[in-house]
Amino acid sequence: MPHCVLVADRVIQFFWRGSDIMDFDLPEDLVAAREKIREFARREITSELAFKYDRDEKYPFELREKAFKEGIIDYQNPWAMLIAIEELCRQDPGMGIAATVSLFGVEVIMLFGSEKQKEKYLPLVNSGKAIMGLAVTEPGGGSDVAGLKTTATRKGDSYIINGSKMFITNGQIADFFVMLTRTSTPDSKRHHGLSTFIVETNRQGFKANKLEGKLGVRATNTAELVLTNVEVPAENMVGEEGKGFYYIMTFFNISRIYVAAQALGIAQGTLDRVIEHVHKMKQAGEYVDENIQFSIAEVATRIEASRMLTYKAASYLFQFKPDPKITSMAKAYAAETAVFASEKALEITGISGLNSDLERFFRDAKIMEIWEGTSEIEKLIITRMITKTEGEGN
Amino acid sequence: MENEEYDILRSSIREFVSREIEGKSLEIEKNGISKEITRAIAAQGFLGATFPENMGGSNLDMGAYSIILQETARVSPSLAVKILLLNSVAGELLKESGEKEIAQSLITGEDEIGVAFSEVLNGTHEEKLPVKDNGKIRGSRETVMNSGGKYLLTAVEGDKNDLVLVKDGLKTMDVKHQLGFRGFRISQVSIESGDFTEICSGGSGRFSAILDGIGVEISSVALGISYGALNKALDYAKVRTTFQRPLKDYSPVSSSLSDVLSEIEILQNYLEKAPEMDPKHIMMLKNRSLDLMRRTTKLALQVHGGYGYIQDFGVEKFYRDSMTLSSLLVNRQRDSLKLAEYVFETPSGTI
Repeated sequence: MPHCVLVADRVIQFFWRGSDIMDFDLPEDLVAAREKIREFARREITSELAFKYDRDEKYPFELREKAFKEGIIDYQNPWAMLIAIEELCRQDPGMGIAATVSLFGVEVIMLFGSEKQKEKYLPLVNSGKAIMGLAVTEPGGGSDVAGLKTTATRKGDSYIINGSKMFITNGQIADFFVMLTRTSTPDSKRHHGLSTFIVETNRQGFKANKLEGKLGVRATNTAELVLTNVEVPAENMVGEEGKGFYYIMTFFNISRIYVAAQALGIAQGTLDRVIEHVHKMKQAGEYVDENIQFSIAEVATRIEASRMLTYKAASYLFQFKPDPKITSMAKAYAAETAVFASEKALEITGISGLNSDLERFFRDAKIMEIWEGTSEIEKLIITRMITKTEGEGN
Repeated sequence: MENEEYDILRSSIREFVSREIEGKSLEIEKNGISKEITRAIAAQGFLGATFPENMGGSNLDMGAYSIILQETARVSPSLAVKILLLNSVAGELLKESGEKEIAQSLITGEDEIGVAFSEVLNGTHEEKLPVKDNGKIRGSRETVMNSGGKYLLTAVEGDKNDLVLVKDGLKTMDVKHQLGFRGFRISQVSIESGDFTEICSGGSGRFSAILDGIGVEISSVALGISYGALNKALDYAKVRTTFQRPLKDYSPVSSSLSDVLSEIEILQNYLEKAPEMDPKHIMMLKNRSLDLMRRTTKLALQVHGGYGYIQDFGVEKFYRDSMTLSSLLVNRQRDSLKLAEYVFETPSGTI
């Protein structure tokens, strides 16, 4: 998701524009983009297809291809991309994420890669001809990125990589990964001595084992990677040796905004279906009591607040001045909203919800509070940033 | 039974479940409750726990039955609910109809019975009930719990809204959406031309009454699920390290898990007195047990992080099952009205 190839005039102003205007509306071209994406999502992501991909734990290659072909996935336009993620996840989270995550980790190359790496890899993924992924998390690692154990040892003009990675999105289908490894033993700070490499998946010693039996987002491909003496040329190192941790943290400050958009889409998708259910209740002459009305109002309000936070974080990022505090607020709040909305949706719709897309949304939503930084980690970041910048907190 | 007897029963059931079921709980989620497991729990008397002895049952009191439900739910909520459906729903009706032979075939695990009462749950939009036609039952039911067996209990269309036991002509459709209780099948069943026995009139109302009367059983399953999920999280928090410290050392983890355990133990004490409680307090217990179960299962999954999201770790099933229990065996809106009426001593909360 190359949000960094930005056109300056694509920045959306959510705040003071002039002395007396605070404009919260999207520009007309983005409104039109949303409509086009929505139409695509409704046409290509039917309830039946979503059910099938979820049941079979199958990656929707066809959807991804069509999305590229019809210009739905356009990484040159970050705002449109953000809205595409939101709208496709609104239709179905598993398929929506699968279709929009095929460049996961590309920002590391864009921001820190050499010109040669950019020329070699970016056209492939930007055109949809290749799929990539980011390989950071390790078995038993999770939030503790600096504790990783995968090593890259220099040998002449190459590095030999040994170790394993866990919960890797696109694990079995990617053509290459941006991978975080340890290139030297840490000094007093564990996050020192980490470096990033581009690792092609056709290299000898590379193995991907698909993880099956996920609670949700089952149309996405997730795998454990095992690297046994995988040799990569030294020129595959991204940026400087020992700076990998900083690169990955920078990346997370970008990707979390896109996860917030996923969560926003899930929450909105559940609300759409609840509203449909309420219409049916009314048509059947059933009374929609105030408890239900309060729940709907609360979900709708949280969605609106999540959208404002997400767009604000995106606005800062797309102006090249990311604000990690707002980013973490957006990610954590949107994730909690997705889970909250999916729970309320099943409470309101009861048995008809259990027999519908909503049961899948309920399963899908929970990952939002876990991946790309758990809600707990986001809260710690928020407090650290507030403490650092405003002198508050512990 | 005396308190000591309950303690002995609990420890023997826990030992059985740990030995015979725990290692197969993932298999239950993937492929359903096997015949072998069904026979094993039948041999323990779980399937006929509350059936009278003359029907081949164990005729246990509520305290003992509650322990069976709790202890099985700790490991496999599907298994607990299967036991509950047979004893507290089907069993109640079979006792009325005097279907001794059928009851025996169910208690021994030889045959299976499905139950269909979705019309009395939240969120149903005018599901058409089957009809009587020339001495046979025809039609279909959308959400049959424990489908795929030889028998079905359902209400039928008509002035009398009879509740019938359908004895043949059943065709089980493929499972579509099944959030929870994957140990047994929940699916549509079509009744092509089924012989039947009438059990009572006012079938949907009878199902409602049965659901209203199983507050202790639902609370038992809910607390069992809470214990099961929490135990997983406690164990994980002790062994999983992050940033070079075990999870249990982080205050948000330790305090949230400790808080939840406190709530579970308080409700557990309350549950043990439930067989002597009035309907108002049973409703309160059920309300709080369901709420606690939902919060506990969500917390337990979150503590596990990415591993919680994977079936192999055995914690995500509690998250799915807790939501399913709250929707498939509970009519939240009706419960809410009832509770309000108990509290205000007059119909309340209707707006």
